[in-house]
Amino acid sequence: SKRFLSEGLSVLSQQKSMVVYHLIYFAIGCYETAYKLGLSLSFRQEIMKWNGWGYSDSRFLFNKKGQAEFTGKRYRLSGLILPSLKDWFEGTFGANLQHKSPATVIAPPNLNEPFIEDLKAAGVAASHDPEDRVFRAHGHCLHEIFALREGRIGRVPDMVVWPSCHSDVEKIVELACKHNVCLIPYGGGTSVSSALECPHEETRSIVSLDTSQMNRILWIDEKNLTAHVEAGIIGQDLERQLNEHGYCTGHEPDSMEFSSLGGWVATRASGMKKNIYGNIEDLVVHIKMVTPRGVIEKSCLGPRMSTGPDIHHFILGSEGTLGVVTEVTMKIRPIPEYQKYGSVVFPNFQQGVACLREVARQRCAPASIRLMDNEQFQFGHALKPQVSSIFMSFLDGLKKFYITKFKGFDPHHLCVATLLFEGDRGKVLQHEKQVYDIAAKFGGLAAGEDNGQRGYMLTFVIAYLRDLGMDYYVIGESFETSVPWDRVLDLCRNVKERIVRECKERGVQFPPLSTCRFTQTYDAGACVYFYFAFNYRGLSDPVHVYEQVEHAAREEILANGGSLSHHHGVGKLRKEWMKESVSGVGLGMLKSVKEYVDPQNIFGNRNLL
Amino acid sequence: MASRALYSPRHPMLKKRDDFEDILEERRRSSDLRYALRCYTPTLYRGLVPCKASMLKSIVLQSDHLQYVIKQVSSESGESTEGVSEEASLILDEMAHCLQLSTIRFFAFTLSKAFKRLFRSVCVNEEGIQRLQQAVQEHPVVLLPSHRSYMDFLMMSYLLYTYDLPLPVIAAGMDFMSMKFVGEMLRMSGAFFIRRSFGGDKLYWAVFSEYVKTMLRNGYAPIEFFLEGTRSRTCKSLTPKTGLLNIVMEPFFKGELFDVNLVPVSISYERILEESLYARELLGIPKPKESTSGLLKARRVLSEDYGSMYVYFGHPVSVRSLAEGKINRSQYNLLPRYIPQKPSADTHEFLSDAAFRLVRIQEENMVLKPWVLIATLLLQNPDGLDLSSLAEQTDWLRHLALAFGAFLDWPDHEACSEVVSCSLALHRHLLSVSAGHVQLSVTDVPQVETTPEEAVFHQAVVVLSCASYRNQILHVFLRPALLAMAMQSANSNRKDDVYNGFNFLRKVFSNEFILCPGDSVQDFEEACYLLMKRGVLQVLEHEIVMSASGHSTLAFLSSVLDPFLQGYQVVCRYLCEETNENLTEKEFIPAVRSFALKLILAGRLKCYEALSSDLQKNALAAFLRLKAVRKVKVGDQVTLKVNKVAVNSLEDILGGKIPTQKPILARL
Repeated sequence: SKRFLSEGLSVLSQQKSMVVYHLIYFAIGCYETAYKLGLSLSFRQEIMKWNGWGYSDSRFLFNKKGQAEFTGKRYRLSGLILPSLKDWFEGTFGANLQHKSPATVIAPPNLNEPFIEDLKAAGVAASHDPEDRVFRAHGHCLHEIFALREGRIGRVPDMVVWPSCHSDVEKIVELACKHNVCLIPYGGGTSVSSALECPHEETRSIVSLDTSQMNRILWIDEKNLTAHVEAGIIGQDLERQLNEHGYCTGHEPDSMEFSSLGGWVATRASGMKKNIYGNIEDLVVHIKMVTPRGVIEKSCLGPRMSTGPDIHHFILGSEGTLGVVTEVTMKIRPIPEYQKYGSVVFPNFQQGVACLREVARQRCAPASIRLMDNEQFQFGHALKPQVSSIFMSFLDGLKKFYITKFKGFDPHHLCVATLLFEGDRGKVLQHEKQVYDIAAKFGGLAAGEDNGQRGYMLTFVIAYLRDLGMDYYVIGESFETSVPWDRVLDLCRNVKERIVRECKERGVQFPPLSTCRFTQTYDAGACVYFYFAFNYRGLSDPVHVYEQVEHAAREEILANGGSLSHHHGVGKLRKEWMKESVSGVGLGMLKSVKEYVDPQNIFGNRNLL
Repeated sequence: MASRALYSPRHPMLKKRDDFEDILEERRRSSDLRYALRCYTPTLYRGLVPCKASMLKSIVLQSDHLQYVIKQVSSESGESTEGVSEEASLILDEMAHCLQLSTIRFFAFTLSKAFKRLFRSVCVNEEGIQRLQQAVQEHPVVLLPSHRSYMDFLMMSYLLYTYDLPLPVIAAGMDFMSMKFVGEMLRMSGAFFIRRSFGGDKLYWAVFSEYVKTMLRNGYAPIEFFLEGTRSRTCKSLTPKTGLLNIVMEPFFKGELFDVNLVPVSISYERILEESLYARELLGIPKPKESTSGLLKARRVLSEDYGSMYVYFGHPVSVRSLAEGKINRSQYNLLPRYIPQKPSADTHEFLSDAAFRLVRIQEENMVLKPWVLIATLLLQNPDGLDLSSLAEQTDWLRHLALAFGAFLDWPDHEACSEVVSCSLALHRHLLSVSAGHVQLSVTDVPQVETTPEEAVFHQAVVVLSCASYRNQILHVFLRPALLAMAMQSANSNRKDDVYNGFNFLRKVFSNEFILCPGDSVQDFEEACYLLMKRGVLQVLEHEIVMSASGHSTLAFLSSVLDPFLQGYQVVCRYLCEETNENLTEKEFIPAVRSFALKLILAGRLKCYEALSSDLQKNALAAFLRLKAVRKVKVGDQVTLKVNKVAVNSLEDILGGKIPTQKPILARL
């Protein structure tokens, strides 16, 4: 990121040295507070990649021997050699090393001077350092990351402000209304719906409102088991700090290392352990949000109310179009006594799905239950670290032999479910037995804790893998939906096939990776994730091809009875389908709320509507 | 891709069609027995769910859909669910096929023998077979052959066996079932039987549709059915039915299948086995009920020469690409998929459009023999032609047909006169040739005294038989011919006027010919384009002008449709002059027939085709559609109420007495 900064500055200094000097003056000279804050402000920025997923020190690479390894110390996989990844990678895509170094040009900021003056007077930290701006100009959609790597960055925010508390936000919003600047709230930056993209049609000064400094737990109420938390807190910090008191929220979305509480509320997030703790809408007791009209919140902390339509549901999923969530009261739970991973191998995907359906029918789903299809199972296999001893390798061979030869599972059809049980020890073991008994009815074989744990670990590192792919002409992404039980199999098959077919029609030379997994079960359906990647050699505009294929896949999802999104949200990426999804009247209702709350379109990220 | 091919404007001359290979050649060279017993390993669908015919029944009976309908029927009728289930099971037993390879082998042997005697060659486009091989692996396949003869589906199964393709299951009419033994044989060769009408019978429909869908979804076998619903007695394609098409498309609409491949197959015969049988049937000489003994009598058929037979497997049409942008599949999202859902208006329109287009593909891929051209000319010249002039005109017509995109199988390097005399020889039973003069005529008249009525019928059999050959090429001339007729009756050269006339004729004849609803502008433009290309017309911005040399072509074209025009006029005249208040639907055909017969006997009508019940039926359907006639139900009888003013003006327009104008159309 240092390199980026200097590059950015050098480019700028060639073009508009005056602006740069002004900028430095602004950033360092003027605001002592800002400078001081700057250290902590940029803390996350320092340790995270600017053009890829996650921490800078954690990445996949092929070492000199040509073996894959995962660097850093943060994950279970860190520092390990992954001997089968290369073969899988080559077998699936065909790899070719060529890395392009980016050349970045950032347009000078469009600043609203009176706003800045007033902000200065109000004592709110701010910056228009290009690095700060670029960092907050994007989420993690493929096209956004690809553009960063290629050095083609579109409109970026003109400045960044860091409120440190609710009243700071009130001031900022008030000033924004007064000076008519556009605010885009920024939490963890993990959006995958183009929600953070600055609309190019926006002519006003765009200010990114970074909530990262509002990251304190304000109080914990052990009587009611609630905690009052500032919305900028990052998931893992919230969990760690609550753990210190013996509590947790249990909300663990896959992005929890980087995503923020406010972001969860704004997108209707879902955590992997929702079976025990619920999704975000079940977890929040009280929300405080600053809008151009003023602050919206309920008057008490009652657990449920019948006071007309729940105003929380205007806020949940509003994707930053109505205001900034500043504080949230959330349910907390004592840390569970015991946790146990598990996994089950099924002879085929259909059987696996039938088992998940039965588990949901009996309402005995463990904290988490996931099912990956065969392609994903093979991919998971490729991420198996080098075994440390001959004995282990022998054991692995034996397991494989048992499953494929003795039990007659076809390695090209079998699929795996991963499980996570949580609670007190006795109940967990009992629960475990119940689930394994059901699995057995569908031909499932218990496949050990280790495989289960690796499955969950995969969730966190899979995002890193995309960066490796991009080094080797492979691009890809995941997208999700929710779908009723009776249609899941048809939907999965059709969407996967549509992806393959669309790729072929658009000149993709190698068959794409097109796989899916179930990540959540509900009474009436499931949440399904699709992973899709292809080798783009020979394509002149791979991102466009990617987008067309994803678009087609989404059409297919909708045609097969799937929803527009289960928890990623709509953003700008899926906006075109909103009317079809919620009906014209529904969209009109949402629009009229926006019209009332924010008539000037101060929160002008143009998501959703 | 398929949809693009389907909807692209046609460039007839540019279209390259596949070459044919004669499959009998191999059969004449090697042992039929070895052929019948050879190792049969068909290419299979990649998503195949293996299951036996017996399993199939229980899957169907256990299906959510059928269970739902059984409960519904039971609660509506008060009968117990067990009773209704039992009924469903009986329906299924009556319906289901039990495809057996041994029966197929039996047929492979006997049909080899039969085909070799009947046909000089059976020609198949092998590229089409290769495409089918590919299609069969990718998605479930529906075979849609044209239907001109009983031979059709025997031939289809025979061919698929020959080329190591999965054997189809075939939707057949119940009438076959009454043929003892043969019905069972057909069942064992993959036929399943459907009642001809089961309008309101929910349970029957549920069993039937679930049976077909289950086979399709599991990739059990290619489903084969006839879009036209029944054999065309006239060799014109029939207006397609959409019921079964909806059934095979629904698994795609509902997301149960990624795609379904529809394969139109065009089967054409140089000489049709049922030729005179059809003609008699059209004239109301009752057809013998299908019976085994009848079939045995038909053995006589085996001793005759039926020339060549052609089977053209068209490009597979993907339902997915066909439906793209036309069907919003999410309309099926809000109802559990096992609950039967009537197709929406959109879906209906789509189905009908798709069905018409598929039939047009069948038509376009139908191989035409030189005789078809000769028959057209002979019908236009009832007094006959000299051989030399026949040859000359045939050659002229051949070039016209080719220019319009006809799929003509004309022997290479043979003089036209040679080709003509070969054709005449094959069809000598319809002709008399003396002193170089050819005429359509009755050849094997029994020498006993015949009444004038009988003589007319004998002649009519010959004319209708011959017309069935002309009809095969009608689709090539249809659009230009409608334009030619419209120009004749229009009282100006204005494009609008001509188009109005064209559109009117198109409306009147849309039960008679395959005219896709909603394609009138496209058809008009196609007709203009073809005639312009031929140098017959000049199409200006607002006018259509005949060129100096265009007269003969236009005259020929309008006389191609003349028998239909005359026939419809006869029906009009009948409705105006003869009908009383209580004409029942049943009496209609015999009454029109005797009216036409009277006109012929009185020398006031020369057109024997007016006697054809097919034409009369189509005319009635058209008049009903145009609201010139109304159906009224009185008790269990349906009577026809005639709006004489409307029928009169229809007749006038058809007769060219009044030009087509908008107000008159509106009055209709």
